[in-house]
Amino acid sequence: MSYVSLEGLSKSYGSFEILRGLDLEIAHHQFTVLLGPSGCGKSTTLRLLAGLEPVSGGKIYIDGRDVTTLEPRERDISMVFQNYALYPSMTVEQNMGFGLKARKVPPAEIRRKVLEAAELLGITQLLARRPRELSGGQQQRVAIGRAIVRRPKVFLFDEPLSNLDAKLRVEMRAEILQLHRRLKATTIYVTHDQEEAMTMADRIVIMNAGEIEQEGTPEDIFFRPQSRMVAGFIGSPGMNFLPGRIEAPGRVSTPVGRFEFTGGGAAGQEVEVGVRPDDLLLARAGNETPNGAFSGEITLIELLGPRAILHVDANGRKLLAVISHGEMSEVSVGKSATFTLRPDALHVFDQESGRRI
Amino acid sequence: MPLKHKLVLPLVAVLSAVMLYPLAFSAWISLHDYRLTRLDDVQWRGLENYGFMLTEPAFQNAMKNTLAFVFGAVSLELTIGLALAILVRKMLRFQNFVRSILLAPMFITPIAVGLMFRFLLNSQMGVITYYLGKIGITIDWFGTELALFSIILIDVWQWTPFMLLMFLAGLEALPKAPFEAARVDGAGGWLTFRHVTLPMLRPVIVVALIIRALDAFKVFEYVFAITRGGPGDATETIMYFIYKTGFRFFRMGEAAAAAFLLVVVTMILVIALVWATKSNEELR
Repeated sequence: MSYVSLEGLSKSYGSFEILRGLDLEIAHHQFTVLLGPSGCGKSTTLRLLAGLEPVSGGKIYIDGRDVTTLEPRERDISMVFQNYALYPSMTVEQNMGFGLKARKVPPAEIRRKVLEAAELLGITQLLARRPRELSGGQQQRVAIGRAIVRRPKVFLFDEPLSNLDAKLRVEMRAEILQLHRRLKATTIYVTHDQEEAMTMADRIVIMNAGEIEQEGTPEDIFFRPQSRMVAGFIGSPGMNFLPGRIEAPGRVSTPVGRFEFTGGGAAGQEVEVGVRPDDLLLARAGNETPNGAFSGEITLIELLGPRAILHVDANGRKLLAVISHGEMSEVSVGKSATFTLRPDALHVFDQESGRRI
Repeated sequence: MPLKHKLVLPLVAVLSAVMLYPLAFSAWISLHDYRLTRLDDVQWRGLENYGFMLTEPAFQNAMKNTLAFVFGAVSLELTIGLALAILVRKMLRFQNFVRSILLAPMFITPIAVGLMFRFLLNSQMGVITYYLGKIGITIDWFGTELALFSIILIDVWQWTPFMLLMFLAGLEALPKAPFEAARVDGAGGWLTFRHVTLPMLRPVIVVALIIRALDAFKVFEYVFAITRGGPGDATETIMYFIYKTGFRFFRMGEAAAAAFLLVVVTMILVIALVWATKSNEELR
C-alpha cells in the first residue's frame, strides 16, 4: 500500500506545462529521491506536494487522504528549503518551535521536543543563537531540526545541500541518512546531484521535461537505464554514445566496430549505443570478451588519483575511458591503445524513441 | 591646488553662500537681541534668548502641540500605511490602479491641502460637516478640543500614502522562503505577521518613521492655512510659533533661539531612532 501517491498530477503556468500527468507511488518509510536536470519539474512536484502551489490537475494522497486542495498546515508535512528559510529574527530554539507554537502546543512541551531534536542533530549549544550567527551547515541543521521537531507524516527536502561546500555536503548527506534510519520517516528528496541520489535513495525517480523517465533502485538506474536520457544523465564521467545500426538481433555495428550485446532489436534499426567509461577495457590477457578489440589514439590523460580518465580518439569518435592507476604504465598520450567491450556493457537505445532495446 | 579640488570649488562656494552663511548668521542672531524694528541697536545677549524660550509658556505649549502632532500623525500613518500595504499586496486585480489612486494626495502642495480641508470641514459651509449634520452628527472640527486632532487627520490623509509606498516596496523586497516555511509550519496570518513579516520589515519601518517624523516636526502649512494657531493657542506648532515670533513680532533673536532648540529636539529623536535600529541589527 502506498503512503503518498500522485495521480495524473499536472501543473502549468499559463500555456507552459511544467508537469504533464505525473503518476507516482511512494511507500511508507521509504527514502525517495526525485532527480533530474534543472527545469524538469522535480521542485514543482515537491511544492505541489507541500501545498505551496495549487495543482492544475490530478490528485495528491497522503496516508490515504486526499489532500489536493488542503493548505500546507493541514497536510501534516514538513519541508527543508534550499536556502534554509529560517526566520531571521528568531533564535534557533524559536525557529524550531515555531511550528509547534502555531499548533498551540504548551510551551513546556515545545521546549522538551525542541531539546530532543536539537540533541539528535547536535545543535544544543546553538539554541540561543540567531540564524545570522550560524554557518551554512549549522543553518541547514537547524532547518532540518525545524522539520523533524513536529514528527510529520512526510518530510520534503528541496535541494537542501546545494548551498553547502563539497566537504560539508558529504557529511550532511550521511547525517540525513542516519536521521532517516532512526526516524523511519517517509522522505521525498529533490536534487539535481546524481551522487546524492545514488548514495541516499531507496528509490530514485528520474524526471525529464515534466514526466517520469524511469523509477527504480539506484542499481536499476545505473546498470539498466531504460532510456538514453537516463543513461546520459547518470554516471560520471558521462556515458559514451555512438551511432549504430542493428545487424541482427543482439549484434550492432558502430563506427568503431561490430559488437555483440545482451538484448534484441530488429535488423536495420537505427540505434544509439552507450558505453560507460568504466566499461571500456584495455584489451589484454585477462580482459578477453567475445567482442573484438578496436584501437584508438589517446589524446589526453586526466589523473584522478587512484583512477585516470583517458580521452580516446577512435576512428574520429571521441570516447572516454576510465582505467585504474595500475594500468597507467600501459598507456601514454599520443600512442594508440586497444580496447574491448563486454556484451553486457553495451546499452543500446532506439534512435527515435530513445528507449532501451 | 589640484584640479579635482578646483572643480568642486563652485559647489563649495554656492553651498557656503546659501547654507553655511545663513546657518552661521542665524546662530549669531540667536545670541543677540536682534529685532527687525531696532536694527541700529543690536545687543549681545549670550544664551539669554535660549533661557527665555525654555521658560516661556508659549514656547512650551508650541513644543507640546508639536510633539503631540508628530506622535499622533506618524503613529496613525504607520499603522494605516502598513495595513493598507498588506491589503494592496494581497489584491490580485486593480493593484496598480489602486496604488496610483492612493498616491494622489502626496502630489498636492500642503498649503492647498490645508485650504481644501478648511472648506470641507468648515462648521458653517463645509460639505463634510453638512452631511454629517444630516445624519445627526455635529462636530466642530476646528473647535478647541478637536482642532489639533483635525490637523493630525489632514496630515494622515496626505502622508499615509508615503508610508504605503515605503512598505509596499519593503514587503516586495522580502525573501519569499521564510513565508513559505511559515505556511508549512502552519502559522496563521497574525502569527506570520507578528513573528515573520514585522521583524523583517523593521529596518524599512524605522527609515519611514525617521523621514516622516522629521517632516512632521516642520508642520506649518495646515496651521497657517486653517487655524493660524487657534483657537487660542490650541494648534500653535513650533514652526508657527517661530514664524510668529520672527516675522509678525520681528523678534529675530528669540525666533532663532527657538529654531535651534527645535534642532536639538529633532536630533535627540533621530539619534534615538537610529540607535534603535542599530541595537536591533545587533540582535539579528
